[in-house]
Amino acid sequence: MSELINKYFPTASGAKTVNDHWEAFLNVGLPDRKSEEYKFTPITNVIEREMNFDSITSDSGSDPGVETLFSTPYHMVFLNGKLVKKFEGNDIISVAANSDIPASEKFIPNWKDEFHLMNKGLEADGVYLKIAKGNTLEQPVYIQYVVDSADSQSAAVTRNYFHAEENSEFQVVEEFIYLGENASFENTESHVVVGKAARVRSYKLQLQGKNQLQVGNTFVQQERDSYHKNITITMSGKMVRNNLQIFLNDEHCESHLHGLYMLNGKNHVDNHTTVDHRFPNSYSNEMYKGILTEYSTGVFNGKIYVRPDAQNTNAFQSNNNLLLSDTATLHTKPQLEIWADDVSCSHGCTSGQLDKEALFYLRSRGLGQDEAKALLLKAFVADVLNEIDIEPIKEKVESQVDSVLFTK
Amino acid sequence: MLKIKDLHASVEDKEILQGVNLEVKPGEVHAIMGPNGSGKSTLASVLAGREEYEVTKGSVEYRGVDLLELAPEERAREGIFLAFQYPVEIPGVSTTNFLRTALNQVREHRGQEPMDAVNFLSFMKEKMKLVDIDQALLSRSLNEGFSGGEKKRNEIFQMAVMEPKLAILDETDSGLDIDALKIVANGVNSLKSPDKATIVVTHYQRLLNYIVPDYVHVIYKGRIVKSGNKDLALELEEKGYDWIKSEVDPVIS
Repeated sequence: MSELINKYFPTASGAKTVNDHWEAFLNVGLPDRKSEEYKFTPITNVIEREMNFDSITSDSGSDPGVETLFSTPYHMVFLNGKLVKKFEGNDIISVAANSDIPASEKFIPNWKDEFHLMNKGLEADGVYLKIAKGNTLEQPVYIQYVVDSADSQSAAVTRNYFHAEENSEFQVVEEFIYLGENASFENTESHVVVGKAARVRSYKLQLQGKNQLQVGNTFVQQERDSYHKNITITMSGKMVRNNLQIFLNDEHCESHLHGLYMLNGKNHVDNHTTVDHRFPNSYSNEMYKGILTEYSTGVFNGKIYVRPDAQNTNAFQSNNNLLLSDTATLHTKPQLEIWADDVSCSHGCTSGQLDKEALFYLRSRGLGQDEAKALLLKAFVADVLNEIDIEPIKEKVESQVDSVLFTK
Repeated sequence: MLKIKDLHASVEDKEILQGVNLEVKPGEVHAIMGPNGSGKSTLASVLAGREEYEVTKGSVEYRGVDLLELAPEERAREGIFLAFQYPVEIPGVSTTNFLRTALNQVREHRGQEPMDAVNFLSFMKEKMKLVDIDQALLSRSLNEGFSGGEKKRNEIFQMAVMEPKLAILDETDSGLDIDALKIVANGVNSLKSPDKATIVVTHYQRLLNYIVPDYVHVIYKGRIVKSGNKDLALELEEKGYDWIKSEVDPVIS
């Protein structure tokens, strides 16, 4: 596999050059069958089976002008890993290339994930955005990652950095869009620093696409008194792996992680999350929900670390799932490691079918079978949807509940 | 309105109903009584179309159509309403948010225009008065954290909104104190009309002081073994069910 990547991937992907970190990646390689972290998501096999990096044709192009969910002056578009549309900075938000990060920024953690190491070893397009101290960016930053695999397979590597300085606030929406039917592979990274008393809400939207393989790493570093909320919505994907790592690097941090996956066909989605409580008096709340039907597969792994110093931590986690067919598969694993003694932590995961008695109740009132199901499914996902603060996104996701689950 | 002939029904291969015969005409109130496990609630469930029950024999004709051929929602649209013995709790779904959809399905079936949100609200408020139910309760998750009385009042409220032709009350009195019982009974009585019928399934005579039946039937071992007027209910209250059992057991076993 390393050979394969070494041979084709750097030249074909648009990330044409490797850097000093590439050797470190090659020493590790991609996760193999024995990998604990990728046990239920055999992405390396699927990449080997589905991708022919040699076949990828030129990836140059201009802004494809795909539909947007809302308008904002802070709109950026990547096409096959190339930044093809960006915006000018102003007094509140500065825009620079990701290669211009000053050494003082401590974005990159020492993280073992193989795809993170791969990303680190490749030159990749991306930006470095900074929200100036004490300011609120009124409209969200909106990044669309478009992969066009209409004419050939496609591969993309991106790496973006967001820094909310002390007491600033902004929202960032990352939307992944697929044009064309050929297979594609993406390795994306987003690094977020939430400064002292800053507030950041981030959204990851994976609402369509059929043949994409994607591994994304999101790293969030929170400073004292900061607030972060992440919402990850995944409706589609041949194999999608979302790694979300939250580091609570000081006291009185508040962190929310919410996710929703609604899958049909043979879609496979894996959310691996880590919340690392390193200091006392912080709060984290995680709620992921899944609806699986047909032959789809859902994976959830939630790690919570409460380090010895992190007394008076409050950490909550839940993962609830509905399996609507006998052929859908779910793997869910909470993983709490607690070294501090004065903490309040809870976790719970469930999987089940729609409540038959509830269905009969609604039907006995005159609702058709599909309407009754849709109502129960919407009720099931409502507490995640209610966390979405950007109305057009919420409406879009709501409108997709029916279409994902009643395709036939 | 309703003609049940030799109805047999099983759940998990156990035959619960073993030949029920019953005819209900418009305007009538029928009480179905009987000891625990006799098949009262099964009869109510079979009429509403609960899928765990398999009808193995017999027929049910409702206003000229074969009721057993209809899905639960079709029965509801044709005017059958079941007030549940154990109303289901549904997190995230409020009474108001499903009831308008339900009502409009029924109205569409009847060839009526759908009711918009504004009209529905004033219609709903009128019906709320009947059972003295609070709007805040109806905006909460259905039955979640409701008291027993609130759940049953909510059932009768929904019945008032749906305006069924045939209402089936499945042990609506169970778990109610006397005040709640009166409220529920008043709600039911105010919906009575010459073209509507009611089947009241109950273990105790108590409710029948407030909802006065035209006929009382005793169901035992899956069939109706005795029928009479409201005096039969009083007799049962006084003497219990044992005398019926001793009368019937030698005959059917």
